[in-house]
Amino acid sequence: MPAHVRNRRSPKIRLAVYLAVLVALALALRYGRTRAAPDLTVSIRDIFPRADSIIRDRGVFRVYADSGLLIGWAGSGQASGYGGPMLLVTGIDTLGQIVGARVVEQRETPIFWRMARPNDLLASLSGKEFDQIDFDRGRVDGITGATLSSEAIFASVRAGVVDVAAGAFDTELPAQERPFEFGLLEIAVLILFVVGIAAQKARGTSRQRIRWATQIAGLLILGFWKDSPITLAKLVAMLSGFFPPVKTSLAMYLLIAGFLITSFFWGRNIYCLYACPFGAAQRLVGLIGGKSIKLPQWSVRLMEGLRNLIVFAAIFMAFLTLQPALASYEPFAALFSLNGTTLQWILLFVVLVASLLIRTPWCDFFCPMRTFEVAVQDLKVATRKPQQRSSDG
Amino acid sequence: MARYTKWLRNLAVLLFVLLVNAMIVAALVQGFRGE
Repeated sequence: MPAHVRNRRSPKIRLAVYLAVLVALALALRYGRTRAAPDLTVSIRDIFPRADSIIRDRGVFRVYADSGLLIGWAGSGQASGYGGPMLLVTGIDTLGQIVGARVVEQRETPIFWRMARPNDLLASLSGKEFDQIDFDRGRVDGITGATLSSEAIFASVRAGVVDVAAGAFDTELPAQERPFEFGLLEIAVLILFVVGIAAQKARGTSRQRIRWATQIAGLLILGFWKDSPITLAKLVAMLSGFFPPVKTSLAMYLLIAGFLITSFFWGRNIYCLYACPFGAAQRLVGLIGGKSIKLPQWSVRLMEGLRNLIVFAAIFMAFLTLQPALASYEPFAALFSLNGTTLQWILLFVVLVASLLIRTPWCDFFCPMRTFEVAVQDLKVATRKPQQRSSDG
Repeated sequence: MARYTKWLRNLAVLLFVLLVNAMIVAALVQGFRGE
């Protein structure tokens, strides 16, 4: 971070601002988490229109018609999606056939949620015997967010079915073991960080060459192939207490850990400099534009201030509503998965055009990761011994 | 002439800052409204 920015406010004021922000966010999260739990019976009645009374028994719901006849069972299940856990309830009739399933609660990004085609997925299960369902079918492959959403839909249904099978049919369904995902993506993330850290010791020109190489690798792997850069949504989901399974999200944990650790120990973090696919895209566009212009000081301060304010507001709202996925405003998916709202497309276009004239404008002035990076660096300064701080000047 | 160029440049930068930030805020509002 430039010195003029770091030193523009006294440490006491900065500390007060950080404390106020933390208190406000903690209160918002507390409010979000203490909201009433969703009412499952509404969804169960939707699945069984003839339902009169619903009784919870041994972890499942017994559904009775007004004649007192048992017409089926319902089980609820939760699984981790892109933006946090989702809750579904699944109804099974007395013959063991799926009557229907309903989404009670979900926290996905609207665009990924649409792409996961939840209604089609759930409709495809109706009428199936509960022990004959192929839960691996119907995955939306290729787009990380939508894949996570569709997998979570099926995993939630499965959890509900497992409960009903055990509670109502005395059937133990085999556990669905997800393999530990450690493939090219995870290896690539580790290599990008190791090379990035090692490059810190290299001389100027070699360091630049290494940086181009890792950034292009990042652009292809973390960008166009897997569309898995760090996003505000992923960070906020974790801050909200929604930790996705390590088995399937190891790459994301590695990226976030690498981002935080290198931000703390290496000043500007290795992720943004060496791995971020969107940073690479801007630099490549910048090559076409040639020499970048120097922005006036007032605009740099204005943009940094607005960015911090927007990041705070986005996290605050995400905590308040407990919807981390909605905090993301980055246009990454538009570029890497060719999916985005009209606004995100325009934002992407404006940022890429600006990259012709200004050096990595998104990274420096709009990216929420920069706010986190600055916060981590401030934490580092604050944890130093007083004499070290004063000697730094 | 140089003074006007500087003014124009500052105006362009200000418009850029406001435009991108307005789009970011609009994208967030759109998300929270579930659109």
